[in-house]
Amino acid sequence: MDMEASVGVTSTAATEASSVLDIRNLKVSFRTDEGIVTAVDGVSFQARKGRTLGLVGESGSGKSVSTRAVTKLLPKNAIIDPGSAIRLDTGNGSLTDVAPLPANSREIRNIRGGAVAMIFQEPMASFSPVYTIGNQIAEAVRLHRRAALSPLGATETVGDQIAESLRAQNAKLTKQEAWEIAIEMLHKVGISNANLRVDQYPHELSGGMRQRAMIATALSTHPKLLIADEPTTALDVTIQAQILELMGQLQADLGMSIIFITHDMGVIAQVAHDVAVMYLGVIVERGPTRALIEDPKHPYTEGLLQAIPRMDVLSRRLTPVPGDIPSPLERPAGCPFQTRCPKRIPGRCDRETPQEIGLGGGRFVSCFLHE
Amino acid sequence: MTAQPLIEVQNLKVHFPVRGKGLFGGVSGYVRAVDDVSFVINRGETLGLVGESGSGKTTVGRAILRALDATDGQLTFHRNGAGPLDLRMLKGDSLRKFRRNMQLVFQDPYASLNPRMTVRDIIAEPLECLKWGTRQEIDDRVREVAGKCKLNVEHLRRFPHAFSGGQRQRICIARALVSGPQFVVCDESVSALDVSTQAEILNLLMDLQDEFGFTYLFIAHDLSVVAQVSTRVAVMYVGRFVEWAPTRKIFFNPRHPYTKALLSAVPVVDPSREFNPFKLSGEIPNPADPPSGCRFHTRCPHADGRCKAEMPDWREIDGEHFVACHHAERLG
Repeated sequence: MDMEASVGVTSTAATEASSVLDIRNLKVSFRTDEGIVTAVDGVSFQARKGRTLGLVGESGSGKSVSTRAVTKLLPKNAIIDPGSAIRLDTGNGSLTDVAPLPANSREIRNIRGGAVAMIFQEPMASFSPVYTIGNQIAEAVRLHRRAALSPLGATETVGDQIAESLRAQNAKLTKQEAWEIAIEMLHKVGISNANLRVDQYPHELSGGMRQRAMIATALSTHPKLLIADEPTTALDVTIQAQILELMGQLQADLGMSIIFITHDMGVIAQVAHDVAVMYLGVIVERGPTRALIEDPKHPYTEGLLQAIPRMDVLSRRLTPVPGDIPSPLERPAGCPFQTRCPKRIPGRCDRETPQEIGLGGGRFVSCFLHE
Repeated sequence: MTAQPLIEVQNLKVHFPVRGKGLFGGVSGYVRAVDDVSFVINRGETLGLVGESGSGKTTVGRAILRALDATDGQLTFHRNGAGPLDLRMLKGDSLRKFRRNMQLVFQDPYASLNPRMTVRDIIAEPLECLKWGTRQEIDDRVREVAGKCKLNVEHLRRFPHAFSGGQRQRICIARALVSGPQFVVCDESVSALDVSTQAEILNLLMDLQDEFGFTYLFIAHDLSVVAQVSTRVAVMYVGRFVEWAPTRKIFFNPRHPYTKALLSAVPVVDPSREFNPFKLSGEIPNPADPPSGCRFHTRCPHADGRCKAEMPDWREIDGEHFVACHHAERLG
């Protein structure tokens, strides 16, 4: 436990085996006209095979930036600190550090949409409006299923049936084969008349349908890791329930790891096995979902849970987290939450930065109250 | 105190024509965004209006505010001491003058504030349109309202970009309240905010209601938010109301299968409670071509031949609890 408590220590063999992604001490900053803005400040977390990690936090907490660093989909002015490690299973079962790879390198392009797939909040913005759905899925399939045989992904795990079926295919999938995979994937995500839908353009589909098509595209290359960035935020609750169920089923079928980014604690409670709560670019608390929600240790997690309106207690009075999230340009000294924290220790929290402390049971918190 | 009605809506219909192809294409059909909706909002109360996107919630709000013209139906505003007023008869100058009584708070505080105006000018604009008073009087009024909305009066000379989402929404609320309205439509006013700020804005809206007796129409797709602020809740589906009742009854004893489905689809924060949404297959039908009979029959697990053929009546199933379902009694 002590070993894991200090940041940046190499992981034990046990976590190595099941981790698909292991991020250590990730720091991302942006060069802006106002100076260097640190968006992610020393974040460490793991995504494990067959499990869902929920990343929660307010807007501007660095949820999206820390996951986009994995595929290097960051704006040009972003700087990933050289001390950061992003170790990723690119297909051969062992973890490779992708942090030093340039954003336009062949390796990163193979990973993007290949070993790591992404789905975003606004499906309309993630599809090209001028190609049919089928064209766009088939394109991903042809690019990445071939890529699976390139040196980087040459040795697939034996147990992976999908990889086996891939190997059985010729190195170059024909357009016809890719097209058939596209139809099969659309069918798999519950789109009726998949053979007709495949010829439609994104604008012809409804919001829920588009998000299903987005999931189909992401999963068509059988990724090891799916990064879902607020995938259901723009959808109605009934459609959200359908999409969450679908993602759960597909995860059970394909055994992939999911990182689920959201600001909705309700969604996290229902889909995530583990949670990491982010605030101003740091993870303030992480651990198994149930334990974390039932007994939050960090004052921010506590406040966040209390602020949620509930349907079973009609109280008429809500408990907001006091104050506003500070601008990333004016990061408070010491603990980032100290400006809003009701349990602040004066003279301590505003001077020192709390380190992550292991609490046992896979739980970690960065707060002086738990020393 | 007995409940006094403020807004009365009877058989409201808002239909949008769908044009055929080409510049001179004729009208080929109508999107029935709101189709025969009746309800009353009492003075000082909040009506929560929920439904999926495309159900016509926003259209109802805009029709009452006369931001859209209703196709048919009656919209009555019961004035204090001056008798009822037919909102659809208001025109030109009298409509503009009457707008001080009815205001709107939008969803996105980033899109609804002019970046080139100072906060003071944004909040003062409604008063200037109404030729409310001298510059000094307007200034005083802006300061007073800004203070009530918990905005720092020192910041009034700043531009919106300097404010966070929650503060921007407070500016939007101040702008809506500055003319002293009786009726405020909040159209998804907290949906774009983070939970911590959302709670703060909801508390502010409720405090202002307690202090000034505002009447709200609170449009939202988030049921848990509606549960906190509403006196009554109406559930809309493809242009029609399916259920209308006091908040407690909607949340603890829903009668319409659609309301039940909506409630069960909200993920609860309690991980020990199993998330088992009442399965709704398919999506909301196209309001240009609504299904026959009960509009929900295409997705309803209890639908039978009658639901397909006959449109259910809007009936009172229990005190102040209205529902449009043939099988409401049987389903319990």
